[in-house]
Amino acid sequence: MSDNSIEKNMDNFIGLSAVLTGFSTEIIAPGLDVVDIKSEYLPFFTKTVTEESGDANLVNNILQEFASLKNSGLSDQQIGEAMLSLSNGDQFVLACRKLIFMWYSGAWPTIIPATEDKPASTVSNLISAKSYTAGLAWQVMQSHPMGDSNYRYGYWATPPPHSVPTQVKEHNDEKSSEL
Amino acid sequence: MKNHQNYDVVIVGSGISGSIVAYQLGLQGKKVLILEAGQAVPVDRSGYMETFFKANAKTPESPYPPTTQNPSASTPDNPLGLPDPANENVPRHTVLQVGAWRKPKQAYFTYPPQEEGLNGDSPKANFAFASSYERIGGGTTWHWLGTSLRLFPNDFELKTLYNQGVDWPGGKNFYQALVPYYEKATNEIGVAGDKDALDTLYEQFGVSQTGEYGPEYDYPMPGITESLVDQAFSASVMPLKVDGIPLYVTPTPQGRNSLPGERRQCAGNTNCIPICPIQAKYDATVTLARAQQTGNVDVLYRHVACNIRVDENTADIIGIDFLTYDTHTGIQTGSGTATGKIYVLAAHAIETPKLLLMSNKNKKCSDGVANSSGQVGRNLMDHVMYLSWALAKEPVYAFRGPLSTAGIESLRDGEFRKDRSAYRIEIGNEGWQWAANDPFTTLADFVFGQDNSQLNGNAVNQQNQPLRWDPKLPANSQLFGQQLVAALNGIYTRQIRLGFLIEQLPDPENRVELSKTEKDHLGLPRPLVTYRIPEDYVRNAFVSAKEVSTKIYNAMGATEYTKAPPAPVFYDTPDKVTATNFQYQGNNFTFYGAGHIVGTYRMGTRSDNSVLNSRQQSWDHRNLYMVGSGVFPTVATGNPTLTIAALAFQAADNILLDLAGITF
Amino acid sequence: MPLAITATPPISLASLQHDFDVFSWQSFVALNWPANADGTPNNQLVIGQSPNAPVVWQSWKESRDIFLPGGARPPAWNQTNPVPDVCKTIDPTIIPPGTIHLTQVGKTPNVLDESGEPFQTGPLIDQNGQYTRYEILTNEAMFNYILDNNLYSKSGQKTFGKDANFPASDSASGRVGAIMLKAAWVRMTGKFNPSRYHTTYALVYNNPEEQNGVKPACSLERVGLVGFHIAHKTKDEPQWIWSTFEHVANAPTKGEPRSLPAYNFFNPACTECKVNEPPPRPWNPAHPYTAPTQVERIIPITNDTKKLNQLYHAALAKAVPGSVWLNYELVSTQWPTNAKSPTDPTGAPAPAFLANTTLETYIQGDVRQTSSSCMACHNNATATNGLFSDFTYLLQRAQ
Repeated sequence: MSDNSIEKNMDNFIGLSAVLTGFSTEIIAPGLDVVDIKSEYLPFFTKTVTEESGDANLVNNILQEFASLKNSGLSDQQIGEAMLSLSNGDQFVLACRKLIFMWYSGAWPTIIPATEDKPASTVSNLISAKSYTAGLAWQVMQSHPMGDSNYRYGYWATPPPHSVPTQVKEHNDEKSSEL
Repeated sequence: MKNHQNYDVVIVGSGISGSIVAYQLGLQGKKVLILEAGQAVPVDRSGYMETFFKANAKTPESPYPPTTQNPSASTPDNPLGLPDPANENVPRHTVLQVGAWRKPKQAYFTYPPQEEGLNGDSPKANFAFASSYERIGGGTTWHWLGTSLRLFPNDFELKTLYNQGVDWPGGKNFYQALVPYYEKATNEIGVAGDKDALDTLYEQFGVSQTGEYGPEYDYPMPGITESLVDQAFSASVMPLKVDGIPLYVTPTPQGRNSLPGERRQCAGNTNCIPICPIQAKYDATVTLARAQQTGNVDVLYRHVACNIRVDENTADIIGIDFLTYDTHTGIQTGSGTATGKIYVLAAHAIETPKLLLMSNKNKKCSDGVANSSGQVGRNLMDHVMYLSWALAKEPVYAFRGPLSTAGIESLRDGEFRKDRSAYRIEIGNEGWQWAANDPFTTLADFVFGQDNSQLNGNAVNQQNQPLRWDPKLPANSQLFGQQLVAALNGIYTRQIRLGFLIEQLPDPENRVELSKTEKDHLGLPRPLVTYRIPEDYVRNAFVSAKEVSTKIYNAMGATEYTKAPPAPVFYDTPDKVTATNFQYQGNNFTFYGAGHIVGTYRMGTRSDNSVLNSRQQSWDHRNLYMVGSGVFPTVATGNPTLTIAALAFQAADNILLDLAGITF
Repeated sequence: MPLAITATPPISLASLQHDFDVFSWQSFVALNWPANADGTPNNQLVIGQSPNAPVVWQSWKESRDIFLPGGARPPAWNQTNPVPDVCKTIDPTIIPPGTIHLTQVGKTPNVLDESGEPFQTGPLIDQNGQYTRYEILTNEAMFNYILDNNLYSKSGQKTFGKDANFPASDSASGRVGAIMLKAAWVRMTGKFNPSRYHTTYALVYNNPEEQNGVKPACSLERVGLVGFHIAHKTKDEPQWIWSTFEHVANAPTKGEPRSLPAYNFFNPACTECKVNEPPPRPWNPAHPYTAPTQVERIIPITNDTKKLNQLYHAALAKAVPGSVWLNYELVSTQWPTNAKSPTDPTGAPAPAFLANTTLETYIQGDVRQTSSSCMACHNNATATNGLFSDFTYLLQRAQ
C-alpha cells in the first residue's frame, strides 16, 4: 500500500468514525494530535475485523463504501444510516458497530449471544492503557476517565462548564449543560 | 537460614496497623522489624497505575501484584484468566474470585460444601466471602475509600442496649478510652472533615452534649466539597423518616486532602478505589515512610511469616519463622526466624488467624497459637452491602469527584436495633459503575441493541415503572452519531446509587480455618472460609434497605433501576451456582462486600471466649499483640479504618508500657 | 527574553515543538547572561564571559524569601533578605557577593517537592555521595503579583479568595509575565571538576522542616548547576511554557549507548545498582556519605532537540570558546497544543511527559497522572485557601 493510500485510508477511517460516534473529526483526531489514538485504532481495527470475519476485503470495503457515500454529498445522518443498513451484510454492520464501541470504550467487544436463561451481553478487552483514557464515553458523560482527571479540586460541586464536546467550538465560554 | 535478632518488637504486616505501631515505637527509640509478605512499596505508583489502566475489570485489587486477571489466559472455564493460587507465593482473595468461589484453581479461598437440601432462604446457606484485601507494602489502604468515621458509643454496647451480638470490653468506657487515639488517628491520616456537620450527627446520638467526643476534637483539614449527587440527595431526603428517625445527608470525613499539604489536594479522579493516582488519599505507605524515617524501623519485604514459636514453659513467643521468595510464582529462596521481645500480628483479618492456626507445632498449642479459647478465626464479619441504583430526574453529573463524599448516618443507631441491624447509607458519585459496570453496559446496550442496563427494552422496575430510557425509541435500539451521544449523555449524567452498609452479627460459625487440601506456592495452607448470614436480624436490614432505597428515590423523583438478582442456586456446577444470592421473605437479594473484614481474633473480657484482652494482648501469650480489624468484637456501623488506626495507636502505648517493665 | 513563540509554517506538532524549543534556548541564554550588580543583564559582556559570576536569574527571589515565618511581608524586590539563623554564624566577610542561599535539600520530583515536603519521593545523591540541593525562584513580575495581592501569607490568600492569575508575557505590549525557575545544584567536591559547571557559592542549609530528624545546619559551599527548569506564563499559553535543561553529564539514557566515561548521577562500573531508586530512609542531608543514586534518563531527548542543542552549542562556542554553557542541554519543552480546550484545563500538553533527571528522577515515564508531566501536575496546584494557584505550587508555602 502506498503512503498516499494509507493516508487516504486513515482519512476515511476518521471520517467514518466521526459519523458513527457523533464526535467530529477535529475532536477524535485533532490536527495537533498528541494522543494519536487513531494510529493505534486503524491497524487494530483492520487486523481484528479481518480475523473475526475471515474476509480480507471487509475493512477496505467498509472504508470504500464510506468514501463513496461521503462523495455523494449525503448528510452525516444519512451516511451513518447507509453504513449501518442491513443490506450491507451482517459482518459489515457488526464491524461498524464494533467501531463505535471501540471509540467509546477503548476496548474491543465480543458479543455473547442470548441463551435460554440469559439475554445477549457484551464483554470487552481493553486495547491499551492509552485507549482506556481516550474513550469517548468519558467525554459523553462530561467527565473524565476514572483514574485520569485533569480537573481541579471541587469541580464536582458544580455542573460541567461545557456541553458534550462533540464539535470544536469557536468560543469556550458556553454555559449549556444540556445538549 | 537467616536470623534477625535484637529487635524490641517484631511486626507481621506493613499495612496501616503495623505501620502505626512501628512508627510510634520507632519514635520512642525502640528497634522494630516488620515482616511484609508482599512486594515493596514502589518508588512511584506508575507501575500500579499502568496495570490499572490496562485491566479489563477495574476491581479494587486490579492495580496490585500479583496480577488479578490475565485476558490472554482466558479459557471457557476461566473466562477472566484468573491465576491459579497454587502457583502464587502470596495469593489473596479478590473480588473477581467471588463468582469463581467453587473453583479452587481460580479462588484462593476454599469453602465447605453446601449442606444438602437447603432452600433459597435457609440460614445455613454458605456464601462466598465478598470482600478482599492486599498483600503488599502498605497493605489494603492502597485501595480503601478513605472514609474516616468514628464508631458511636452505642456501637460498643450492642448486647447491653439491644441484646444482640456482644459488647466491646468495657462497653462505652472502651469508647471513652479510645477518644484520644481517635484524635491521633484523625491527624495521622489527615482527615478532611466538616466539624459542624459532624457535630449535628453527634448530637443526634447524644455524644456531643457530654463532650464525649473529646475536647480537642477537630479535623486537620476542612471537609471535602460535597458533590452535585450529594446535593440532590440532600435536597430530597429531609422530610423522610425511617423507624421514626429523620434522614439527612452528612458529608463524610475522608482521608484525602481538601487542601494542599504534604500530599496533593484531591483532584477528583473518581478512583479512590482501586487507586488514587496522585496520593491525595492517605494510604499506609505515608505512615510506613514516617516509621522508616525514625531510623529505628526495618522492613523486610517478601518475607512470609509461616510459624510462631512458643516457649513451652513460659508460653512466651520466642520467634516468628518466615519463608522468602523473589518473584510471585518463583521458588522459595530462603527461610529464617525473627526474634524480639514483643510480637505484633498486623496481617489483617484473614492472614492473621491463618498464621495463628498454622502455628500448630508448638507443644501445648496444637490448635494454633493464642487459641486456648478456640476463638481464633471465628466471628468473621463484614458490612454486608445492599446496593440500589436509579436515574435522577435531572442531570446530577455522576462519575465526578471522589467515589463518595457523603452519606446518611442518621440510621446508625436507634431502638430498631433490637429487631434489625443498623446501617449507614453511602452515596456513590460513580454512577452505575459498581452497580452495573457502566459506562460499558449501557454503551453496549445502545450500540448493539442489548438491554442489560434495563434502559433499552421492556423492563419495568419493582414498582412497575417502565424503564426504557426513551419511550419514543423502540426496544433494543441500536444508535449511532448524535442520537447515541444524546442518549448516553442523558443517562450517564443522571446515574445515582446508594450502598447500605449493614451490620453483620458475630457468629462463631463464620470462620477462617486452614484448608486441608489446598496450598499456596510456598506450601502454606490456604484459608477455608465458612460464611453465612444466618440471622433474620441481619436479613431484616436488607428488607429495610430495599424499602428505604425506594422511598428515597421516590422522594427525589428518580426512577429506580435496582435489578432484582436471580434466585440463589446452591446445587449445580461451579459455573452455575450463585455466590452471594439469598432469599428472604419472598424476595431475592444479593449482597456485596464492603471490604471490611472484621472479627477473627476478637477482644473480650474473658479468656475462654475471646483471643485478646482489651489491651489487644493475647490472653495466652503475654508478649503477643494483635492489631487490625480482627480485634473488633462487632463490625459496628462505621467504616473500620479510623478505628483500626486508633486501636493501633492504643496498642503501641500498651506495648511501650510493657517494654518499660520488661526485662528478658 | 523571548515573550512569545514564533511559529513557522507549515504548522505541525513537530514544527511547533521546534519553535518552542527555540524559545527555550533563547530564554536560557537570556537568563544565564552575565548580570550587573543590580541583576540586570550586563550588556558589556556576552553569555559565557566572566564565568561563575552571578547571571541574571540569580538575583531573583527565592521561595524562602517570599513566604516568611508568620506570613510576614517580604522585603521589596531589590532588597536583601535575612538568612536562616543558623547561617548567621558564618562570617559574612567570607561570603562572596551574590552568594545564593540553597535551602531545599533533596531533589524531588515535582509535586511533593513543591508541596513543601520535597523528600517524599526521595533525595538525589550525586556520585560523591552528597545530597543534591534545590531552589525555586520567581522573577519580578511574579513576585510583585504575590506581593501586591498579599499572597505571601495565609491570611492574605484567604482575603484574596479567588483563583490566582499571574500576569502573562505579551509580545505586543512588551510586558514580561510571570517566570518561575527551579535549579538543582551539586557540591563541587570529589569527582566533580568545577570548570565543567556553572558554579556559585551558596549557603547550603539543612532545613529541619523538611524531614523528621534533620537538624538545622548551614555551610558555605561551592556548588555547580546540574538542572534548570524555566516556567514562563505567556499570553497564548496560559498553562505556561515549561523548558528544562540539564548538565550534559547527568545520566545516560536508557537503551542508548553511553557517551561519557563518568556522570554526575550514574556509575558505569556499577552493574548491581538499582536504577532510579532513592536511598533507603532515614533521609538526612547531614549524612556525610550516602550511596549514590544510579540514574538513567527514561525518555530520550528527541533527535530534533539534539540537533537544536548542537546549533546552540556551536553559537555559544563561537561567542566564548570553551564556554561553560556548552555543558548544558535542553531536554525538551512542554507546551499546550490546545490551550483553550474547554474540556482539558491542561491544554493537551506536548510532549505528554517531560522530566528532568535531577528534578523528577523517580517519576520519569509515560503513565498518565503518575509520570512526570509539568502541566498535568501543576494544573492541580492550589494555594493555602484550596483555590487554584495558576500552575505554581509556591503559594501553598505561605504561613
